[in-house]
Amino acid sequence: MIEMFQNLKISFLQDYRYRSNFIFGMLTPIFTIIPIFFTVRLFNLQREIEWYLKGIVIWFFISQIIWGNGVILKREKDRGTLEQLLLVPKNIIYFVINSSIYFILKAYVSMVFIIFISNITFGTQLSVLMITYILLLGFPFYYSLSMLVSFLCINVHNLFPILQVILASLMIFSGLTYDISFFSQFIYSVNRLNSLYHMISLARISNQINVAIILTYEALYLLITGVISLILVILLTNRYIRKFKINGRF
Amino acid sequence: MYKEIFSIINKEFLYFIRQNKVIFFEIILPITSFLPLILTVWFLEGNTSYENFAYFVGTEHINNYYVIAFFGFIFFNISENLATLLERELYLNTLEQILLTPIKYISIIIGWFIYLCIKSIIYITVFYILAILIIDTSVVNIPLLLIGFTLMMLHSFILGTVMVIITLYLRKADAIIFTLVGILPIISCIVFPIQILPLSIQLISKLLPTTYLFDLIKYSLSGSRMIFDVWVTVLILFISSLIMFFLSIIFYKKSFERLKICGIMKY
Repeated sequence: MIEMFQNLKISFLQDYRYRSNFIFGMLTPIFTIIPIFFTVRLFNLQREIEWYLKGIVIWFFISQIIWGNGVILKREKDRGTLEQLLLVPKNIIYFVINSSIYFILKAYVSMVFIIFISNITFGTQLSVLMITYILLLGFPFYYSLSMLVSFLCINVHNLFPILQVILASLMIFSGLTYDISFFSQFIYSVNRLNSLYHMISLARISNQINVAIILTYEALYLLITGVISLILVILLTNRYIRKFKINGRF
Repeated sequence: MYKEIFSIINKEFLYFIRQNKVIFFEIILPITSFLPLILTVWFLEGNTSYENFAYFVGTEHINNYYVIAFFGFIFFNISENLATLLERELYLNTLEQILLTPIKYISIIIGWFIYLCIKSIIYITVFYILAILIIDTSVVNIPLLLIGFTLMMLHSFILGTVMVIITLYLRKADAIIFTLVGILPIISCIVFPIQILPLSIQLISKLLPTTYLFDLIKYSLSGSRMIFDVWVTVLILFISSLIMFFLSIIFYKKSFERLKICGIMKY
């Protein structure tokens, strides 16, 4: 717990030192939603704006976490402190988790900001609680995915193309701005294995928080795949770390 | 000077080739980046009526119209990466060495720009093959598209130089550059017509040369409605690019020379 607060403090102080970075970083989410509003108006789809927005908001949050976790270990390696971190008695997974809490909070604040802006300016009725509920249900899945990305990116010099490809590939099959069933029944059937697709679908079909949501097929699938992927990622990373401790390299 | 430029391009390609993992991802990046766009256009095409779109845009070539997003991607990719390449040298502490070599300030930026242009042309080829195969696109006016593309490259060089100057002054300028890359496509109306913006933002848009640049490319791709006539737009772009080119080079030279005298640590 103390370590977690220390990490939070370090990240906050870094942001405080580079205030312009913090302010401009927080402005970025607005740029992701403005084109959607104009495109929706262009096609006269104002009545369906919430359908698009729910996907965008959830996607924005997930991509922030994957992007943020992707750079944690890479940053330590560049500073030359990764070796030390791997050799301390504590598991490095705790370090990744502690370090990611700050940008999870930041991503959440940005997401709430987007929802308020769209509700006030464009008259949508998105519920912050509802979206939070869906995000919590899917958390084990996308967080384990981001941990995997974090370990994958340790030995990479230029991270941007890799992270962009990972995020874009996830985006294609999550049905962010289109309904996958529209294209091909076969692709749709295969894509039903994709948990992120279920997460966005769940946000689109639910209007208010109730116990029944958790009993839907989408929610159950999301929870089960989330728990399985989290266990798998922890086992995999432990093996990875053990290999490093023996060989001294990945 | 040519040898200097060639050595910079050679250095970048050698650096690129050394990273096996990144090569694979760089190749599939244009494919994965544009599949969502292609699928969205496909979805909108089959799911909505053209009336509203045609009313605002003045054309029914929806597929051709949305190819502009790819040109926008190339434009901002080049500009942003010029600053990223400089940032990489700063980060690896190698800029100081580059500054002390006899390489001229202009050769560095032109070398980086040519390297990025070569990559962009490969991206465009991959994208167009995909677009023609998947969404049946065509070009309404090819000569005008070539003129627009040339002007776009010139403008991307100018914007990239501005971003390099910002990076040289601030050193930690990622967020400002991200914001610029986020806000400019919206104000420049890349994927929607200017009429769709609120009036106050339309006024700001009309002050930006990038608005006219993408207006020209959209017209050459799909025959969409333009803000001004074709030749007036070309003239505006030509004059603005000349003025901004010289201004950006002057400022870049000044900041570079100051850096050469002070060194990175005191800059």
